[in-house]
Amino acid sequence: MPLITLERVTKIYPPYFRALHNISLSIEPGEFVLLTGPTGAGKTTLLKLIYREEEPTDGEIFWEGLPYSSLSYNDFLKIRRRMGIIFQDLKLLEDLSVYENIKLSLDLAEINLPKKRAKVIIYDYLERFDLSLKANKKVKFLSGGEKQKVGFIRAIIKDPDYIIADEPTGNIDPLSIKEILSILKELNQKGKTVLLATHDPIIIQQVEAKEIHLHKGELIPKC
Amino acid sequence: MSFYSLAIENFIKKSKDIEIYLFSNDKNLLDRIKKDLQAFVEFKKEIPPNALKKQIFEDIESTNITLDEELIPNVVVYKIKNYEYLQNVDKILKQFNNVYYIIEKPPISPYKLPIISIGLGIILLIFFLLYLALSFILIKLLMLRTEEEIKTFQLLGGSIFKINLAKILVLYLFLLISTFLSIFLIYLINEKFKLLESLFYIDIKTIDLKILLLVFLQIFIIQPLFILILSKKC
Repeated sequence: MPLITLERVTKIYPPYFRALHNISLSIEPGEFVLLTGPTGAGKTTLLKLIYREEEPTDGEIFWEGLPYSSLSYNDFLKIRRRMGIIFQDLKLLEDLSVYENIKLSLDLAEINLPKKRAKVIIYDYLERFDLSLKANKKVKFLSGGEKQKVGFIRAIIKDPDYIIADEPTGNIDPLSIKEILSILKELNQKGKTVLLATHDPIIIQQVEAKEIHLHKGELIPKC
Repeated sequence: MSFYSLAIENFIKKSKDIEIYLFSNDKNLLDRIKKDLQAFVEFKKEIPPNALKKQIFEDIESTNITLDEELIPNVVVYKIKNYEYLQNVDKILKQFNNVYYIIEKPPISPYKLPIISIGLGIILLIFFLLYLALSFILIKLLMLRTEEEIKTFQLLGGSIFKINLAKILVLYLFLLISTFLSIFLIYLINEKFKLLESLFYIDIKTIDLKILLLVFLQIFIIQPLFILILSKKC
């Protein structure tokens, strides 16, 4: 059974901007999926529909065979706790420190790690991304690239079953991009489902994955 | 006279006025004193000899005593018009040997009363503002502020119910502690200045139902309402 299925999904933003039109696709558990397309193709909208920040105007989305319309608010919270989402606009809490932002993700996912263990894991990731010295710095004082790294760590720290990454490499240096891709591949090899939206051709070249290509809100079959 | 002075104590009520209790068997003498004092005092009441007699028997808890009915004094209560007259009144009364008198003063002089009231008002206002500011800061520190941040929380899998519950519980705890602190503060101020006794005629040692009711009203109605309003505002 597919993990996520979209059936003739259309999304129209008022007054009349058709972000997605008649999209049907499915994602299997454990798959690495690249969602590609130019800016404005509808990649972010598609991801927002999957993690239900937005509702489709038409069509239906299924999670493990269950239509979203039949899932309750609490069902969705449980699903989101198993998801690691890297938002395009990052959605970091600017007044909290780097460490607090990452720790928050563990707390919200209700992962009850002993304090010391949580600290070790968080610092391990911070070290990997060269951020350990900025652990106590408020996020608002970080650069764009650093914020993006924090957003990435926050998403994966809870060892999610599904990773949804919306342009996670936009402002990041090549070394860190390599690190991010390597972590995503590593997670996928462990059986995690990864859905990565990008318009960066270098990343598309570097990742061997199923590709879903969008253009002006429509699904374009890849030759 | 000691019986009478003991009995008269029971008639003395706490008052913010300065009162003189005059008692003498000589009615004419009392009338004469009244004339001498009239520039400085106002008549308040008269305690009938029967009431005084009854009180004496209650005080000594025995009826096995004979009182000469004629010796039971007449008691007249006056209020001193102005605090400044106190010395004049005392001077006049000292001239009479056959009159016994008690001057009952409020614990705080009327001079100091307005200053202390204003002072207490300012302290309470500062305390209230601090309390309000702290509540806001607490909410801000506790959890998320903007709708955007709340949305992020939800997107990360956080339950808004739990967030609000934690917020409300901590705020309630804060208000609860501050209530007891306020009561303690009022108690301390009162102990120091006997303020409640003089301003509101409340004896803090005999906390009656009205005060308890106010405390319960504060804890169970005012505070939850305050929390609700604050959570809506934040």
